[in-house]
Amino acid sequence: MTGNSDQTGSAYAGVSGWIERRNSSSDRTMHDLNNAMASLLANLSLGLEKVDENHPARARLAAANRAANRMQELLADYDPDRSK
Amino acid sequence: MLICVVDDDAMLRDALDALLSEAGHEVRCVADGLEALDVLEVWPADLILCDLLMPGAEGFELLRTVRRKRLGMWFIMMSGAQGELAHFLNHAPVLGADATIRKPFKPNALFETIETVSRTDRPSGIGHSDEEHDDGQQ
Repeated sequence: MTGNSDQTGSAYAGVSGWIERRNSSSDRTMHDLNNAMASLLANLSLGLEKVDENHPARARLAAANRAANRMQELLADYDPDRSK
Repeated sequence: MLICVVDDDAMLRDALDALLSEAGHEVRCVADGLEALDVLEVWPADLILCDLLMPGAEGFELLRTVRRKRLGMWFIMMSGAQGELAHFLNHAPVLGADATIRKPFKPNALFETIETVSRTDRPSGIGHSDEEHDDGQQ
């Protein structure tokens, strides 16, 4: 199946290289930050679902989730192309 | 729903695997487009959730292959690209993606996107195929 990739990217085979050349250090950092943030949001959401309302860690998890959601909004505001 | 997650970020793959599995989906996770093609050959997913920028085979390559081969899978392209590269995501629907989502997304935003896509007709590949015009001019 790997061989099919040779047929695949006639139009976009050079995109990755072009991207790598054009991608600035700050853009790469933001890209990695966005990935980490998405992971954090997903894990906090899952954690809150798993923890009982009366569990002592519940309030802390909820607070961390609120902070993560706020950070997501700040990141969204930082990127003028982002609508939400 | 069978969902194939394609992302080079291991932490996010793990999180999406857990999130989507917990929501009742069957999930397979791979790190790039080439690995995805190997999986999709034997495991016909209903939906592909694919990162745009990955080393090796990036999202556009996988999208083009999926549509060319008429695999009939919904395709959601995701990206956390910033700056000039952020605009790349806007091209995904033109190439056949059913939806796009920008990282970092809240879990509910992802679920809503999947729900919205799954209410559309499942792609047959017709209309996206470039078998006759594989000149890279899309």
